[in-house]
Amino acid sequence: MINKFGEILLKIGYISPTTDLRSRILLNVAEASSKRRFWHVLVGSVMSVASLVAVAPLFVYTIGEFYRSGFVSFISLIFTDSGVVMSNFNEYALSVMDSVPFWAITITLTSILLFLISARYLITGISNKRSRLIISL
Amino acid sequence: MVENNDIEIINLCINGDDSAFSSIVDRYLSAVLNFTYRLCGSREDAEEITQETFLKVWKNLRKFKQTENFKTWLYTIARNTTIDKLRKRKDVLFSAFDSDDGGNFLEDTLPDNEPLPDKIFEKEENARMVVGMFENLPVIYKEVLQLYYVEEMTLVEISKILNKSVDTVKSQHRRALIQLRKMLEMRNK
Repeated sequence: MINKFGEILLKIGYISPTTDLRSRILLNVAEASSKRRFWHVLVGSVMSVASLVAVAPLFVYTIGEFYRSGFVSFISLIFTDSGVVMSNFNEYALSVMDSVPFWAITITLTSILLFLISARYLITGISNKRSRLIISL
Repeated sequence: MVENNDIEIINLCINGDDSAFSSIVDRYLSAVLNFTYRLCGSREDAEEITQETFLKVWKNLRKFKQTENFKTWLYTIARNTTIDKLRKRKDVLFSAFDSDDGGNFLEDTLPDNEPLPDKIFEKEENARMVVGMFENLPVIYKEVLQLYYVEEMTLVEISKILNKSVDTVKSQHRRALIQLRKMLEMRNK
């Protein structure tokens, strides 16, 4: 029964794809692929430039925050007066932790991450594996 | 083996090699075209739906779970695209007696006859008649019969494509055959 009904449906109701149907499908995909690449390049380039421009001042700001918060002074204390550091280690460790500029570090690392992601996006858009669908039509 | 090749091709596409997609088109074009053609009954629409189906497949390749069967996923997209198209045409033949769970108030009252015996297909004339009747069935029955008999999928695979329980698919399959049988009896009277 399974074979009979299936065979008959296949035999009587079968249509062959026209020669240009395959081409039209691949052309649609090629067009969608170009659009996707265009958006990848556009979004990738804007975001990477913006994040790259932001990284330099944020880096300078973060270094400044390390000095302003006293973190550098606390660290230099290890080399200049290690005896005091060792005798009051708990208080010292808490002070060092307290002086870490977490906010500045977070935004700097975020901008670096954003740059890496957008660069990857951009590279995907302009990679050498360009659509070769047209060739295979 | 075939499924592994599908996965390899899909991975190539995901990694940016669009030319690999033509292998998927070559492999499934005819099957998808005929599947959609039998559901919508128009070659022109079937070609349009097939184009749309492959475009959706390409756009959503990253969403395809590689632990699943690619053919089932592809047919799900083809089926949904066809239903959308038929809805736009306001042409979907859903029975007014069908419930959401696939039940049918009217046909549940029918006696549980043995559906379509093999001998029906022995005569070419009868076979053609059954195919003609198949085209007049509601879409929900046509898709079950086609996936089961033509694509030779299991009820579990069909249930995934139709997003229904296996029991619902079983009862739809049974009802489809009963309806075909009824149509055949009426024709023979």
